[in-house]
Amino acid sequence: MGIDLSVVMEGMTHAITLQNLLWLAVGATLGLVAGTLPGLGSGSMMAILLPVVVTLPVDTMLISLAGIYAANIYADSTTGILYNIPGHAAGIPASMEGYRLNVAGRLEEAFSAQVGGALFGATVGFLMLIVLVPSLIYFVKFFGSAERALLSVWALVFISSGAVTRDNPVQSFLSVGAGLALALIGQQPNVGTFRFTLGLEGLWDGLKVVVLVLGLFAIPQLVSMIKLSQALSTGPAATGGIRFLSLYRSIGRTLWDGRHVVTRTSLVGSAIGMIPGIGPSTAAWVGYSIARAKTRRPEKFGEGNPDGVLGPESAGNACEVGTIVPLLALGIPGSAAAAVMLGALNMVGIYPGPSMYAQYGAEVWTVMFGIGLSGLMFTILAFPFIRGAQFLGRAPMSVLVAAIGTLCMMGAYMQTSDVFGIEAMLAIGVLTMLGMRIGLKPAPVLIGFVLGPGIEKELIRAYQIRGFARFLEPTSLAVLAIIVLTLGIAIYRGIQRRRTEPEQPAETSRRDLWLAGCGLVVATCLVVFSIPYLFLAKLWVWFVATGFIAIPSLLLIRSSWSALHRPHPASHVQEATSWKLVQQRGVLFAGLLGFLALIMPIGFVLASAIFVFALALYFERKPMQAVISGVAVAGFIWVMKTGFGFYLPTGVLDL
Amino acid sequence: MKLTRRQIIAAGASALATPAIAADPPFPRPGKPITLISNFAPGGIVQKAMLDFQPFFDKEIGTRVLIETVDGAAGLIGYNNVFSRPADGYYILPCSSTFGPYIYPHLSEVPPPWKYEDWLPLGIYSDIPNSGMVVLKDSPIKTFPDLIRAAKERPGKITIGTIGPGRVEDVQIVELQKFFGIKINHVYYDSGGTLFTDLLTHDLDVIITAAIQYAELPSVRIFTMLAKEMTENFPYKSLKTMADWQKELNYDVNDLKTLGATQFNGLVVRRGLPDNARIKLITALKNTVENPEWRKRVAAYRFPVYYSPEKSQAIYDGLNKGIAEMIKDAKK
Repeated sequence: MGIDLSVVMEGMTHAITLQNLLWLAVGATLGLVAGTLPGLGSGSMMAILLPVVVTLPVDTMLISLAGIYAANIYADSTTGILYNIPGHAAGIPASMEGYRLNVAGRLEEAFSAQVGGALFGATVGFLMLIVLVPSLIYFVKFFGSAERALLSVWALVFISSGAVTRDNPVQSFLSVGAGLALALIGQQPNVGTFRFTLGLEGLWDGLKVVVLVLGLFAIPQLVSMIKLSQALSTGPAATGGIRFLSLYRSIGRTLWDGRHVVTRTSLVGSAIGMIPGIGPSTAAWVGYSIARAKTRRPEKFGEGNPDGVLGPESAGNACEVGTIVPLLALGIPGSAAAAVMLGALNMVGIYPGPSMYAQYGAEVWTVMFGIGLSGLMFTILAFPFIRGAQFLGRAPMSVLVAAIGTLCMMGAYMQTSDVFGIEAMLAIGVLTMLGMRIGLKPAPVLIGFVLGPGIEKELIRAYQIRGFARFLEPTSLAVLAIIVLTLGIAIYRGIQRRRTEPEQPAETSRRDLWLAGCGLVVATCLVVFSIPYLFLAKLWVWFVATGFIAIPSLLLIRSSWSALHRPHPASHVQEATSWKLVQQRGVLFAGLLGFLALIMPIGFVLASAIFVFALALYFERKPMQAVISGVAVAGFIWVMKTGFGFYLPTGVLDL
Repeated sequence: MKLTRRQIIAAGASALATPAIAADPPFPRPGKPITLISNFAPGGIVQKAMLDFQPFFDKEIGTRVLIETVDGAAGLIGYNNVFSRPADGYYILPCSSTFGPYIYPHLSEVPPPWKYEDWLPLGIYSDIPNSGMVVLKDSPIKTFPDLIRAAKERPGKITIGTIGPGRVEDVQIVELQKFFGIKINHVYYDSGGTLFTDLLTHDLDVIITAAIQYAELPSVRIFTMLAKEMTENFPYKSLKTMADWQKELNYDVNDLKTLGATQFNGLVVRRGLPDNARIKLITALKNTVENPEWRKRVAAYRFPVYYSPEKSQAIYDGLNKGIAEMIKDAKK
């Protein structure tokens, strides 16, 4: 298919009119807000804005939605870098290294890597977009169910074989197994069996990923913020360690230093985006793993390495832009946001697919240029946005904890439209804190949770289509070979590492034994309780229980048991937990439970005001300051709820 | 005049009822919004329909109308969620011939917490044949009889993909196999995007889906619409329906149930709402459907027609009964 340059020019002309650029800025700003707030996301934000923009000219509507679409994924990690509370799952890998840089007083490096990585990834994605949209139909024909499943398996093997944590792959696999087990809850997608729902309707559709993200990361972080209040209040997040010119100047340097990483991660991210159903979370983790493997400063990984931010940011942003390729070329939305974009195109009578390119070439190019320009737009908006997020850091710690707690509660509620989401978030938060004490790693848990359902669904679907023969077709075999190679390299590296690493202390071995013991209990429960299910509904359950939980548990027991009976170095001295800290954590949890109890009777807004007021008062604020804090946070929630039309319980006062 | 016992009871009931009616709270309460529940993921046609209702309901009902997404389990989670809220008319759910209260209780492995009778139709606002069978342009299956012949020659080898489980397509597949004495390989998909992708990759031989969206795509072909006949407003008159194959396959189209249904779309609320709320909502839907502006706005994907709550109830009852019989037969 040849490219008509006059159509390209027409699309570009539409994209750069003043009105369209202004709407692009509006869209990008809303995308940044959506990316930051847990539970909102670009799909919901686009859906919220749709009734407003549908009245605009078609090119303006498309460009404003493109702004939200592209800017949202960038903002995922901003609050993660500042406060270790990422907006969404895709922001977690960048937040891990970014937050460590922040704590080490290198906030500017963290943000230059974040902004630079996002811009580079979005630009590579944009270039792939304009090259591939006209010819993609030939590419997608090779990726059926089996290939999609195997690609996800490859991602899981690649990410979980020790690439995410510095710990041994066995522990990493076990944590991934916990995530895979959590993802088993709910309706099995191929046969419809309800699994492990414990008779609770709220679990029929499984746990929502945002609820899990909040439980795994935000709740433990809130608790540790109490502990870290002193450090944070004097840290760079609060004192403003970045300058406008300095930030933008350092972007170029960071990109140049990390060029080996960012080029690879952007290309891989784009490729992942083009395959429907995988998504930016996977891309970000793959980007993190590539960064870890290719960085020139491997010794700094896990302690604050800008490449650890560059990799996931560029991969995630390239992926998000990449999902537009199958949408425009074939009408296949690869994410919720792409689905809203599809809906918007349909609303104005444009039906994506091969014929669309011939009929509405100019509009296609307008969308593509809009997405390309969004990269520049969010780069320009990045500084004020970061400063805005930093401004939060200047608030008193008690108010900040209460405000973030309120946003978490709102995010969890909005995901499930029920207080069950909040209950699940708090339960997961408590279990995560207990699990972390015996060595469970939240990040691999999330990876297992995100990738597991897709792998199961596609593997079983491919099996239903043509049995095992479906996995023996040339494209499937090629992906299988890549999986085997990746696994082989991981095992080889694991053996090498074991030879060189020092003996672990006895305390660590005992902790591992606890972890392995819990793993065996979970694996047994999974197998026993799944016996009544249909064969296809329990196949994956048994695979997870044995391959990802029982076997790693037994391996962990073997290594820990022998380590316990060998002479070992002195164990780390455990940090004493002060009575005051325990009391403060108890009050925080009591406050969250009180908030939960008040939501239905008096409404979310009022409950949030009381929660913030009580917490601020407890943490030694003056009564008037506590009142102002409560009113400010509740006012913010009310403005968000009213302005964006969110549904939150209104209680007896209809507030 | 001597009153009979029945008259006294009636008078008493009337006396009790009068203040009850008078005591109905105003609907809508000032400042209280109405919420349209979108029970499928953002970006889909269900949410789009809700977005198109929003400004018109704003005006008709006289309060702010919100849209809330409560998705999962093929739309069932949305129904469970609304059932857990008060029956006051402030929460409105979509339903259609592919999902709704007449389908979930029969197809859900775990019975929902509500019964079919718990839902009250506000009316049907669109009705057209939409479900169809789609193949790749170069597929050897050119017609519906081709499909039946291929399935008889190679039992269990023809793979048909649908969205599900838990939607009417499940029952369509049951009916297809039972009515025509064939065995096919049925595979579920959770989104139209991957369903269509696997048709392109030749993983699937046929897909059953909302077919009109593919009517103008050059790479695929709709070989039959799963309807008894075309409605007057149907835009693609050249497409075949299930009535076109009767002679060749020797059946009566009127004997088909879900394979010969049109694709209606309606709205329901939880039964038990006050009378004034019910009347207000029904009037709002009727006026919206009759509004030329709304009709213009939805013209690309809906085919407006207004059926009263009574007529809608009769259609729902028929579907509820038909599916129950089909599932009962399938289990035998």
